[in-house]
Formats: sequence, structure tokens, C-alpha cells
Amino acid sequence: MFNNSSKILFITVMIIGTLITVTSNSWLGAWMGLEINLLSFIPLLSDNNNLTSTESSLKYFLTQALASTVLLFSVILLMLKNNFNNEVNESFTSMMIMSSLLLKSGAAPFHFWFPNMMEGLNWMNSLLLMTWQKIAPLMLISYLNIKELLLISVILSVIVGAIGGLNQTSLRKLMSFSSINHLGWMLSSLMISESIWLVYFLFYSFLSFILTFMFNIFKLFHLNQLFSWFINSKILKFTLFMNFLSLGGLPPFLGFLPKWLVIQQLTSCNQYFLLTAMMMSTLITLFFYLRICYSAFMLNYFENNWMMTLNMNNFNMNLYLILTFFSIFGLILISLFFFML
Amino acid sequence: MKYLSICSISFVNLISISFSCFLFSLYFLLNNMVYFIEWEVVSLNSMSIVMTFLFDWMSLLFMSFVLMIASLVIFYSKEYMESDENINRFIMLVLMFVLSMMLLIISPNLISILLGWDGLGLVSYCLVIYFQNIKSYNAGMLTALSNRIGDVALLLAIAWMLNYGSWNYIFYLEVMQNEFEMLLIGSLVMLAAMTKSAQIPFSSWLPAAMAAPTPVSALVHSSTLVTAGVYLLIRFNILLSFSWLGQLLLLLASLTMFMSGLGANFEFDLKKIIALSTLSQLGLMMSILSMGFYKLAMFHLLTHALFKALLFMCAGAIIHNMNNSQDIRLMGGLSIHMPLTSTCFNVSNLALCGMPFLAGFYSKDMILEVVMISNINMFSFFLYFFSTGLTVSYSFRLVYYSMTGDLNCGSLNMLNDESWVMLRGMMGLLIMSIIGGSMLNWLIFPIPYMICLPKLMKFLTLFVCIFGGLFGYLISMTNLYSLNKSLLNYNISVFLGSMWFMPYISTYGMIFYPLNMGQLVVKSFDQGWSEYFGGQHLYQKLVNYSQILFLMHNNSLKIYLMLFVFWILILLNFLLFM
Amino acid sequence: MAQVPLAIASHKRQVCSLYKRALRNLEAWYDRRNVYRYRAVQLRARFDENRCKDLGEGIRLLACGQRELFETKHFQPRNFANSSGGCAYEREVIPPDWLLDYWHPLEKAQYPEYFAKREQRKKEYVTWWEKQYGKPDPKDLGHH
Repeated sequence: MFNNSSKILFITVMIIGTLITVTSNSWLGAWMGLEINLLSFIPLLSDNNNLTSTESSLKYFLTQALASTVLLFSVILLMLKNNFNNEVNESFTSMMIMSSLLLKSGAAPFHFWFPNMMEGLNWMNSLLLMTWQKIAPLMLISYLNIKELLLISVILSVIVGAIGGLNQTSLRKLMSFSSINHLGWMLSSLMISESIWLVYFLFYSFLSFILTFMFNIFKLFHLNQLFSWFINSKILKFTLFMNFLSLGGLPPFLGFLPKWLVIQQLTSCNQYFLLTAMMMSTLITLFFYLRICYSAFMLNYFENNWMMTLNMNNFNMNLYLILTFFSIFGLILISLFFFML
Repeated sequence: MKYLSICSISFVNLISISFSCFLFSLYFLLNNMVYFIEWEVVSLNSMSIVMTFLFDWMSLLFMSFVLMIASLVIFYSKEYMESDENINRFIMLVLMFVLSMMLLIISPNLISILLGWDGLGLVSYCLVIYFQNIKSYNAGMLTALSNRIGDVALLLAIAWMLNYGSWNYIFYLEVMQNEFEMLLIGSLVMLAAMTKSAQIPFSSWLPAAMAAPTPVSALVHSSTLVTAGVYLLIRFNILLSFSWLGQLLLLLASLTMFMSGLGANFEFDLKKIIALSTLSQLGLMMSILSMGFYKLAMFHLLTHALFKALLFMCAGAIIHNMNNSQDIRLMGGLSIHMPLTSTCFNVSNLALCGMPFLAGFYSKDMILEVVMISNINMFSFFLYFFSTGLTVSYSFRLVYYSMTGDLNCGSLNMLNDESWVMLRGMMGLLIMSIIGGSMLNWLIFPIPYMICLPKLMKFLTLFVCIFGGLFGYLISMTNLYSLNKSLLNYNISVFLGSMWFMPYISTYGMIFYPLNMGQLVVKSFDQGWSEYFGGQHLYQKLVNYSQILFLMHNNSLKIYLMLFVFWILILLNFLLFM
Repeated sequence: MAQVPLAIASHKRQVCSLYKRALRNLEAWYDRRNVYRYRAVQLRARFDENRCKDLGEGIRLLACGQRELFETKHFQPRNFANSSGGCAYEREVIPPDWLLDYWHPLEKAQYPEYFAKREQRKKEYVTWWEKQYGKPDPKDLGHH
């Protein structure tokens, strides 16, 4: 990706677009940043050799353009009503803004484009879509202070993310549903405090980076590849699945930490119903992660008749192991540091 | 390599530590000193969990005895376990056992004592199942689970100690002894001690644990594991003497003494006889402890450790020569074939009986005389003295069976008495079990007990012993036409010979209903309703929902976007017209 | 399935078994050798006395004898140390011979002569078996 000068340009512009959104103090500026972000992300997605990625970029463009239109429309409406006052206090207008932003980020009632689109991307673009592209809409959502739509969106996101991933064999779809589920958690953390959202987002990006990094290098797109691919390296197989569990949020691993924070904060805000829904659905995600790991470790141990040996040339084992170390022992380390303080 | 084996190295280490402990204990005794070392591990809600070490003459002396016996036992097992492949594992287990015993002895804190206590339970399980056959597994399970009851009681006692803000019980025993909570703690600790020392409802594990190799029995069942309970109660003795706990313990302990003494007279397994005699001596210690004479209990604990370890070691040598057979019906005439071992055996047996001027005499005689001058009811008095007679009886029966007469074993058997390493190990303990009693007597009691008895009572102990010995000899002696008396009274002899059916009660009796219940629960819940509704049905439903969800994901982007537009229109509608 | 009788024991065999068990029981009760011999002779006499009764009477006597044995069974029967029920039964585990076949090739390579000879013996055994019983049916050769 980085040996192509145009890609470097677009990535830079994409970053700038997000930064403009995040730092702008008017809705028009925010909309502008979103547009810049969108228009630079589209060329990143499209790949001349691959029809599906072009299709995906088109889908992405259509959805985001619609969302941007609605955003612009409602922002103008807001400004007309409130005499160019930036304060958002009109509930239906802000609900429209919220809907458009939820559509942009791919949260639950408006998520339908997200897994389909991700199915056509390569892993690096998926990673960008899952992490970086979420920053701007989520930051904008944090400016809105209506709870109702957000609550519905949170509950629907976690449930859809959990149930959607249950029957999944495509890794990209699995990751996209996992992303929807995590988005639900992030939205709920947004309701309480932005710093917890930041922590959640950072940990989520870190964990999905490790997994995507592996998938990208070994070109893994389907579950059955996971079972048979790492025949000659048990350590890779093992650590990969540990990372899986960490992403799912199994307690001794790092992925549990942001969930822990959110759970604690929600409990102290008396949001028990929301919390119950979130934790139950996360149990379902954990269930299918565990099911995959269980069958990968114990049951489906088959070898292909003809096997490519693992292509370890462009694989930085040290980097991977260091990252994995943090993803596995991070929670323990952090707790220990906290305990020592 | 001869001196670099794990046995020799551990022997040298342990015996040197033992000597230094002994010297320290003399110093502490002389200057009346106590060292109290405390290390705070973690402080939680103003409760500090501490590791506490208490060094006084009692713990040091006990430690030196335990270490000495352990070192000699390890030295002995160099030859006893010579042909065993896993001797390294064996010695390491024994060392771990000794270590946990040390931790138990020096901790006067309920939490830190748990370290040694649980260590004893765990390692004793590993040692009992050392020979990996079914019998050992069963015995190990019985041992571990019986001791587990005590562990739970100790944990409950820890929970109750939370009331006082610290687990250093020695500070609270005297002050709080009239409180209900302290009584509760005391009863829980007593329960724990009763399981470890195999008092009556929990007795069955001690003879069962004889499935362990004989050196283990020599260490575990003479001085360490079984005396842990006695030692714990010595530390808690204040609670016992001023409440009904002491009375209950007196009853149970003297019944244990009676039961095991009687049982040993019907037993035919060499090691089990010795185990039952250990049990009866434990009952003696416990009962004198429950009357408040903790120093006497300690004294008897130490002397008993010496001669009982020797007895077990001799039994091991004999079993070695009998080709692993432990049945005393197969023995006979051993005093001719194994003179030195038999000498040790007889000396320790006589010490057990309380033969004057051997180790057991000083402690046992004193205990019995103290019993006579203290206030005690007729029943307990009867149990004490009848059990004393029974001790002598089974000892003499044992001697009669194994030492006298002709050889009664299989035809292909060679007896010799030239296992010098084992014999050397026994010699050390032989000397101790001859001089140990008087030595300890002069050490522990600077002022002799004042015991004033009429002539008849003074000689009662002696009479009982002589009568018991005669009895033991006479019941074993048979002539050609004699009918077997225990066959004639079949029911009684089965009842007495199987420890009042306690092994059955604490295994089959315990497990019957829970096991049936468990089967029922497993069938109807785990593999029945909750599997259907919990596991399978839930999963099936979720998969169905997932399939419905995928119907909606069917790549129809236009519909999604139209729906979004409709949603926005609805919102706009509300916005404009409301 | 241990409790399901696989064969019907004849009356003669049952009597012999009863006699043997009764002797063992006597051995447990009367431990001195001379006393035991005396009792054993008496027992033998009791058995001989009822030797040539008719079968119906014999069956009744057998049931009586078994009942008597059950009622006077010693509570600590005298077992040989290394046989079932004895104290050293299964104490030393003898690993089965086929365990050697599961050694890793590297482990096997440490004892080349032994394993070469072992393979040789296996081949010889197969040829002997085929000579003795004929070739196995090819249908049975797969994994069961």
C-alpha cells in the first residue's frame, strides 16, 4: 500500500478530513471534513484488478453520500431554526443528525451496508473501515445529547453484532459483525464519558489491528483456512486464537479491560437494563469465538493433501509476538501496575 | 555417588537442622524466651493477612524431633525404596511433607497455619497413592476427603476470626474465651483437629492410609500428620478446658482409644495393628489434652513419635523380608531369624506398653496417674484403663504372632537381618526410644508433678498392664483342639475387627444417597431439561434468528437507502407538524 | 458384565470350589499350621461323608455348605501379598509390551540392535501365525 504515491496522498487527505471533522467548531466544518474523508477513502478502496472492491467502493459512496446529504440538510434546518446557533437542543433535528451519523458509522438499525461492503474489501481497507472511519462520526455523535435513539441503537447494535456473527464462516463478515457489536459498546461508553470511549476505541483498534495484520499476511478469508493453515506452526495458531478471544473480551485477556471500564461506569450510572442486554449479547459473541477456538484446537484438525508452506517472508514475527503479548497479558500487567500504584 | 544420593544429602541436612533446633529449644527453655516474627503479606479492609512464626521451646523441640525422625526415615528409605524407580519423587514428597509440617508447627496464625495444614493434606494424599494400585487410590481418596472436612472447618474458623480483626489467635484465646463466637471457633478448630488426628467419626482413614510405603507410615503416622491435630489443639488448649468442648473431646478421644485398642486385637495386618495403636495413643493424647494438661499431651506426643517411628521402621524391615506380605498369620519365629530387628521391635513395643524406664513409661504413666488424681467419671476412667490394658494386650499378641513359634510363611522365602542401612536408621531411633522419655521428662518438667495416690491406685496401672499382657498372650495361644473363640462369636468379632464398621460408614454409608441423588440430577437436569432448554434450544433459536437476520442482509442496498430516506421523512414530518 | 455367568458350572466343580474356599477360610481362622491341618482333615471328612449322595440331596447340601461358608467368612481373609486382594497387588506396574511400538523413531534409534531384532521377531510371528491359522480375510484387515 505504501509504495504507491497516490495512496499515500489519499491516506494523508483521509486523515486530514477526519481531523477537520473532529476539530471543527461548526456543523458545516464537520460536514466538510466528512466529505473530504469520504472522497479520499473511495480511491483507497478501489482496486483495478478486483471487481468486488469497486462494487464496495460504490456502495460506500452511495451510503455515505446519502448520509452526508441528510446531515447537511438537517444542519441547515437547525441553523435556520436556531439562528445559526450551534447548540443542538431541538430533538427531532438532532435525531436526524444522529440518524445520519449512525448510518455513517454503520451502527445497528442502519448497519445493513456494512457487512456487505466489507465482504469486498481487502484486509487493510477493512481495518481502516473498522477503526479510523469510525472516529469522525462517533465524535460528532458525542456532541448530541439525546439518549433515546442512542439507547435503541446500542441495544440493536450489540444484538445484531452477536447474532449476525453466529452463523458466519467468512472472516471479513465475522469481523464486521464483531465491529458492529463493539460499536454498540462504544456508543454506550460515549453516553457516559468520552475518555472511556477513547480507551475503548484504542483497545479495539489495537486488537483488531493484530488480527487483521495476521489475516492480511496469510491471506485468510474463511474460517476453514484457520483450522488447516497453521499446521506447521502451533504457536501461530495458538496465539491467533488467543487474540480472537481477546477481541471477544474473555476476562484474562486485554479485550476485557475496556469492557470492564464500561461495565463499571454503566453500573454506577444505574443503566442496568442496557448493561444486561450488552453483556448477554457479548456472551453470544464469546460463545461463537470460543466455539471456533475449541474446534480449531481440538476437533477440526485436518491437513490438506497439498499444502503451501507458510509464507513467512514478509511476516514480522517479533512484532506480532510483542503485540500478542500485550493482547494476552495486557490486562494482568495493567492490573499489576495499578495495584503497585 | 554413594554419598551423593538424594537420601544421603537430605539426611545430612535434616539431621543438622534438627540438632540446631534442639539446641535452640534448650536455650529458649533455659531462658524462657519466645521469638515472634511477623510479616504482613497484604492488608485488606484493616484486616492484615500476616505470615507469623512463633519460636518457643515447644515448637522448636517438636521441630527437632520431627526433623530427626524425618532424617532417619529418609536414611532408612535409601535401602527400603532402593529398587523403586521413582525414589527421587518419593524423597521429594517426603521433604515437602516435612516442610509443610514445619510451617504448621511454627505458625500461630490461623491463615498462615493453613499453608502447612493444606500442604500436609495434599502431600499426604500424594504419598498415600504412591503405589499406584486401586487400593492406594481408594485409601488416598478416603484420607484426602476426611482431611478435607477439617480443612473446611479451619476455613470456617478463619471466617469467624474476622470478628476479632486479626487471625493471630493466641492473642484472643484467653480474653475472648467466654464469647459465643470464640466457642464456635473452638468447636470448628476441634473438628479440624479431630479429622487430622483421626478421632472417632473420622478414624477410618488412618488404617486405610497404611497403603503408603512403610517409611511414609513411619514418618506420617508417628510424628507428623496425625499429631498435627493434637498440636493445633495444644495451641488452642485454653478453649477446651473451660467449655463443653473439652468434655465432648474427652468422650470421643477415649472412645477412639478404646475402639482402636480393641480393634488392634482383632487385626491381622502388621501395619494396621501399628496404625490402630497409633490411633489409640492419639486418643490418649487428645483425652489428656481435653482435661487441660497440654504439657503432658505434648510430652506423650514427642515420646510416642520416637517409639512409633521405630516400630514402623521395624515393621518395614519385616515386611521387606516377608516379600511384601503384611499378614501376621504368615509370620513367626522372627526373633531367631532377624534378631536385631526383633530387638528394636520389642523395645519399641515395650516402650509403647509403658515398660518402666523406656520412653513411653514416663509420659504414659504420668498421664494415667494424673487421670487418677483428677476429677473424672467412672466411664472415662474405665475407658482409660481398659484401653491401657488393651494396648499391652495387642502388643503382646503381636509379639506372640510374629516373634515366637515357628516360621509360618510361604516356602520360598529367605529371611535375613543384614539390611544395614535400614538397621542403622533404626539404631538411631532405638537409642532415642530408650533414653528419650527420661530426657524429655527432665527437660520439660523442671518441677515434678505432685501426684499423691493410695497404694492400690498407684499399682493399678501396673496391674492393668500385666493383666493385659497375659490376656494378649492367652488369646493368641492355641492348642490343637481349641475352638476359635472369635469364630464362635462371629458377629462381635467382625464388628470389633472392622473398627466398629467405621470404614463402611464413612465410605459407602456417606456416598450412597448423594450418589443416587447425583445420578437423578444428572439424568433429569444436566442431561435432561436444562440441556434441552438451556444448551440445545437456546443455540437452535439463536441460529434461527441469525438466519432470519441474513435474509435482511441480502445485498439490496436500494431498499436500505430508501428506508433511511423514509425514516428521515418521518422525522421531518414530526419536526414540521408538531 | 462380570456378574453374568458365561458357563454353567457343574455340580462337581461347584463342590470342589466350595471345598477350596472353605479351606482358605479355615486357613484364615486357624493360623497355626498344626491346628489348621487338624481342622482341614475334619473338613475333608465332612465332605467325604456326603460323597455319594444322590444329586438332589447333593444340591441341598451344597447350598447349605455355601451358606455356612458365607456366615463364617473371615473378616480379614488371608491373601497372598501379590495376588488380588493382597496388600501389594498391582504395586509394581509392568508396562505392556506393545508400548515399545509407540516409541518415537529417535528413541528407537538409541537401541538399534534390539529393535531390529524385535522387528525380525514380529515378522517371524506373522509368518508363524499365517502358517498356523492361514491368511486373514482381507475384509477384516481394515481398522475396526
